[in-house]
Amino acid sequence: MDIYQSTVDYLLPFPIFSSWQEMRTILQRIASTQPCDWRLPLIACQALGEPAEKAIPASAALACAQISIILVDDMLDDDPRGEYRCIGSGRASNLALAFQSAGLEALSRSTASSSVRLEALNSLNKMMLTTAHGQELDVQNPADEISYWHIVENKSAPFFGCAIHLGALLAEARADVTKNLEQIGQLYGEMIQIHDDLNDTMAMPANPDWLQKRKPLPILFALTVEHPDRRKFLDLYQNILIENALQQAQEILIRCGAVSYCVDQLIRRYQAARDTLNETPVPHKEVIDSLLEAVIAPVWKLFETLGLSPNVLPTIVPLSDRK
Amino acid sequence: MNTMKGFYASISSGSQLKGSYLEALSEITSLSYRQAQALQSDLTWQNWSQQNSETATRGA
Repeated sequence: MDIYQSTVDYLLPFPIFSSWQEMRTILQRIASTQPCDWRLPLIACQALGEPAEKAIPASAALACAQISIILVDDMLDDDPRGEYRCIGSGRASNLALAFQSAGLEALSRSTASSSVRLEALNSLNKMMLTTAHGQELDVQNPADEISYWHIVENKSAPFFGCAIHLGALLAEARADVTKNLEQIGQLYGEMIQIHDDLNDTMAMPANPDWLQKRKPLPILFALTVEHPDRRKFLDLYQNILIENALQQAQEILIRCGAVSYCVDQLIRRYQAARDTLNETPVPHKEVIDSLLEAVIAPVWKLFETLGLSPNVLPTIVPLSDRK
Repeated sequence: MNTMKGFYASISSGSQLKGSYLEALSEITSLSYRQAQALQSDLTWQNWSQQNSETATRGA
């Protein structure tokens, strides 16, 4: 089954898509890029041994929610790729509101039982509320590590938790199973955010995170921890456009342990997700397992580059440590 | 709570490493810039974030 085509086919008959051409255009354009995230409800359904078709309303709801989030996020970030650049902030906001509601409609039109539909609607609505709060917190730039993780828990984790949760709900899984799968999705989302932070800080030329003086995890580490290059890093951070400043700052990120810390945090989440999966009665664990393996693969590659084996992994301290 | 500072203290002390795990992580600090860039453009963080979460990528 092509989940992207199925999602589009499911949504286009809604009256709002018939009467609003931009909604159709945006949906079809983004579907053509085949966002991996849209597959997450399907993955949950497959892991539970249910037919893929059951996940279509969830994928459609998630697709609409994601488009809504991106429409707003691009305005917050002044992202040149944003729709608002073409149509203006007001119209982009209208579209964001419409997609958010279309996501709810996608679930309410599902053929699932009324109790499942209600739970799914609650899940999606809660995610949108939490994500909006997370975006608002993110605008304020984290002052410290506690704030950073608070933002990640609100901004990045809920979307992925909800994606898996919706798939599990529509597969009519038991409550304890849907809850565990949601937790795995949240951990997965946190891992993606850490990857993204690493990518943005190590990219060349300077990513907007550097230019806008934001504090993704590696930069926050280098600004927080009292390492020998901290003062120099702060100076480079404040003058990142000076020749060679970015490379020097990135070298410090490696040397001071910022990259190591991100790897540590990825591994902790990977292990927590594996532990949760192991104690969850899911018939096809391998489906979720491959999702987790894909997100940790860069870490194993890094270990391989350094001649290390994943066998060094200990039973590490639980994530509750960071609370 | 400050896990960053605790982590830094652990990997920089060189003595209180739990098995070889933290020791392995401390080895990442000796990656050369060239190695890091190769990893960046080759297959790791960059590929992941481009191929995956549009939300995280655009939301960061």
